[in-house]
This record gives sequence, structure tokens and C-alpha cells, in this order.
Amino acid sequence: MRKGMETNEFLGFIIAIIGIVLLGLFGFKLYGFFVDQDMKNAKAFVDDLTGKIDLLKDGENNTFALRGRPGWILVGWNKEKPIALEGEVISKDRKPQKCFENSCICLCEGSISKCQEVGYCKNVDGDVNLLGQITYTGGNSEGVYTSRLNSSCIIHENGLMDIFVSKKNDFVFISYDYGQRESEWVSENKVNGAKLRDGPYNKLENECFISREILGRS
Amino acid sequence: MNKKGELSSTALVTIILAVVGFILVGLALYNIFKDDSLTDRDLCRLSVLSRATVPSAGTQFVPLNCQTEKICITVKGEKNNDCKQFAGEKNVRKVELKVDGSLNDARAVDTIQREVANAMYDCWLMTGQGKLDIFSKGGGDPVNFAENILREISDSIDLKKVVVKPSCIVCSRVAFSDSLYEADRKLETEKNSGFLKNIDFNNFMSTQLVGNTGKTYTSIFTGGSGAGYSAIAQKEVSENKPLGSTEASSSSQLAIIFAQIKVSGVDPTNQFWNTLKAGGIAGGIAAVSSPGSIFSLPVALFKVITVGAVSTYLAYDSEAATKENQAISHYVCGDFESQNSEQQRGCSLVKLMNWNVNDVNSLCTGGIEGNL
Repeated sequence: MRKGMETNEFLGFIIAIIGIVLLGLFGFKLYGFFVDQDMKNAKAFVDDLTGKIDLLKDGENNTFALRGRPGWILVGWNKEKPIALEGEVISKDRKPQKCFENSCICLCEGSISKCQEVGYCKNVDGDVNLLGQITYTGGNSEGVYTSRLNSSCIIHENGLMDIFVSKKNDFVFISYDYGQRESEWVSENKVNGAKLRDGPYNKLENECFISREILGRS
Repeated sequence: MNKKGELSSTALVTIILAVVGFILVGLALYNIFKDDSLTDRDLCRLSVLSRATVPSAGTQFVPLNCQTEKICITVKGEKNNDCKQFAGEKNVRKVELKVDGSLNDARAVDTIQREVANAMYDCWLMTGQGKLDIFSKGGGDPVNFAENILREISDSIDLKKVVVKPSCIVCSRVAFSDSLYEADRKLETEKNSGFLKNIDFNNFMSTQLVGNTGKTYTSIFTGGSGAGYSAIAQKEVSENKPLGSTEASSSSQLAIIFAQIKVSGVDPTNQFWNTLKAGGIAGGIAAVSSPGSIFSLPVALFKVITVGAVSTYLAYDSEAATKENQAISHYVCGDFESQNSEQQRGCSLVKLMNWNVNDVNSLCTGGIEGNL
């Protein structure tokens, strides 16, 4: 009799364990869905972009329409060499540890410095270089200047973004053109005088390495 | 006789059968969703149906598993006949054409037109023919939407002032290879018989039959006798139709986009909505009979507004976004057959447009779902 009871108890115990495990898995999935949706979106973006990079043959380029994740910043680090922008060597001290010693592309929420904690990174073969470009105009007593701001990272916008990717000799170049933006002239300095008026783009100056150039004067 | 607590053979068999049953059901479900024979279209349709049948609060938890199909139209027999527009893209289907200045060219034109028409038709079927409410959020202010439009009509006919945010799915993208453009250019130069200039999607869709249905594409989109659906063909700018340019570039692509707006919350007895529903046919006929006037002449637009302001808005806005295209839009307004929490109504549109991020962003201000 005792042996029979044990059999039933054992079956019940097994079923209970299975039920608890399934319930736990379901809860975990549900929690993950609510909590990590932003991270999933970031992962989808980076996976999509790196997937397209992988499929590009050497010497090919294309412009891909990818869904932007507003509030997130796209940035890349190289394997060994620090990234250079316009000839200026840039430190790689903010490279997330999760990239290890590889070249990687990361999409980070809010700030590049938070990439390790709230960012998704994926390794890429070869060197990678990112360029975000904004063209803007601003005037002072000498005239109206058309300038261009080049940044080492790309701040995401709402909607689809046309991301240009080229791949040559193990070098991946990724760029995004924000188009023409308004700016205001805050100093007499021709190159650095103009400040972007659009709030989100001011972040470029704080988060990314930037360079400016004067395109023309009217 | 069994001892108490000991498993009887019947119980044992039942348990085994139950376990085996669960495994079989699990395998069947797994196979359904992993079956390679299910096309991307089938998977999308399944997800659209799932999305449309869950309560509205749950729609955001059901992702639309719709993959944009990339159709590369190219020349048969050429060594390098890929579409560079799709470099690095997955899910590309190549359609190879034979073009040599003979009758094959007419067949090639027919194939191109049919591919695009079929892609629009698939998109329309896949997304529920405008009968399903598939997006989790509507655009604008749904409660006052119709009233806003009425106010706008009385003040002016600037529908752009009404805030509506259509949500979209990019069903297909169609690109033409360099070799196709090159073959066309060569034939045009040598024999003055380029074939791309003969492409006329509007004419094709209004004259050609869909499979064995006995109906034309336009007829099916317009609900056979015109019930409910309307079509706009902006022929006045056919000079600038998407294929008008013979220059290949990475942006020389067409896109077939499904867009939907919701106008939930409108009182079912609302005179405006009743007029809209009943008048959709008249609006459609007016639109087809004088296509250009919808876009260019506000006075003509007015007469269409009175019978289909919501649908006209959606089409109008998309036309405005792609004013340089030979734009074809098929749209429907009415009650959605899905959603059980509250009666929803809105307008759905399948649109052929140039693939241009700015234009797409202008149209799909409520967001784009699915996998691009």
C-alpha cells in the first residue's frame, strides 16, 4: 500500500515540477516581452544591419531602409586601431567590454557611455567606420555659411532611415545623411560658430566625435 | 486485483496516450510554423489573422510576421543580371525576361505589369482586403476624426490639416536590374523600340483578368460592381511614372504598401459616416472618371470629399507624398470585420509608389510594421 502511494505521489510530484517549470518559462517570457522590447528592437536593428553587411560582397555598396529607434545611438569600434574621423585619431576608451577585442557595431540607449549596460553590440569582420552628416546654414555679420557637421556616430530618427553601407577590403563604411537642418549662429567662429537648433541633434556634439567644415558662403 | 495506489493498465495507457498526444500536437504546431512549404505570404496572412482576432488590448503582443518580398526584374541569359538595389538583401525573387526587339518584348512588358499587379493583389489578400483591423493603434484623434474633417470641409478643403497617422506594411519592393535598363536603352537607340516606355500599370489593372476569377484587378479591388472600393489613377502625370526614368540607380524601385487608418469612436448613427459608407462607390466612380482632378483641383476634390472624405484623405495624402509618380491607390472604407471589443471602422489602402524613404515616412506616419 505504501509503495502505491509513493507511485502516485511521485507522478504528482513530476507533473507539479513540469507545471512549475512551464509556468516559470511562461512568466519569464512574459517578463522579457514587457521589459526588453526596446532591447529587442535594438537587437533587430543591429542584426538586420550586420546581416546586410555580411551579405554585401567586397566592393559592393547599397542604401538600406532600416527602422530607426529614436533615443538610441549607433556607434562602432574597431578591433585594434582606434577610429579616425577626418584624420583625427579617436580614443577607444568607451568601447564596451562586450565587444572584447573585436570590431563591433553597437546600438546604445541614450548615451554611448551606457553601451555596456543598455546597448546591443555585434561583432563585424574587418574595420568599421561610421559617419553621420548634417548640413546646416547659419549667418553672422560676414554672411550666411553652409556648413557640414560630421559625426562618428548616428543618432536614430523616427521612421525609416536610409543607411548607406559600403564594404571594401575588409573595411565597412556606414553613413547616414540627416539632410538640411536649421542652426543658429552663436559666435563669430566660421567653423564652430553654428550650433544646431534641433534639440536631438545637439546630442551629437556631446556624444560623438565631430568635425565641421564650411561648404560655402552666400 | 490492483493494490491501492498502484497504476492500473488503463491509467497507464491513458497517461501514455496523453503524453504521446501532447507530443504529436506539439510537433504538428511546430511543423506548421516551421514548415518551409509555408510561404512568407502564408505566414504573414496567419499573423494578420492572429492580430485581427485577438482583443484590441493584445494586438501589440502579436507581431506581424510579414516579410517584404523583393522582386528583381532582369534580363534572361545575362551573366551579371542581379539587381544592385537588393545587394545585401535577403528574400529576393528574380524574374528573368527575354528581350530582343521581337514579340518577346511585349511579353516582357506584360510580365512586368503582371508581377506588379499580382504583388498588389497578394498584398491586398494578405492584409485582409481592408476588412481586418490589424494595427494596434489608430492615428490621430479617433473620436473627433470625422467631425474634424467636416469642420475642415466647411472651413477650407485643406485636408492636410487633419491629423491622421496611417500605419503601414511594405508588402513588396520591385527593382529593375542594370541589364534590363541597358537592354531597353540599346533597343531604343538601335530600333527605337524600347519596351519600358510601354508599361502602363493603370491600363493593365483595369483590363487584365486575375487568374480564373473572370474579373479584372481593378474590378476585384473595387468589389466587382464597385461596392466599397475606390480607385485612383493619376494619369495626368504619367510622364513621370516610376518606370519613366531609364536611368538605373539604387533608388529606382517600386514599393507596394498597405496602409490603414482607424476612425473608431465615430457614432454609428453619425450622418457623416453613413454618407461615407454609402457614398464610397460614387466617390470611387468619380475618382476613376476624373482621376487627375482629385489631386490637382480643389474644387473637384470637394465633390469627392462629400462622398468619401476619409478614404479620399488617405489616398490624397499618399498621392501628395508621391506627386511625381504614376500613382495607383486602391482603398476601402468601412467597418472592420475583426475586433470584438468595440466596433472599429477605418480605411485601408494598397498603394504602388516609388521606393523613397521620405515618401514612405510621409505616408506611414503611424509607423511601419513587418520585416523590411
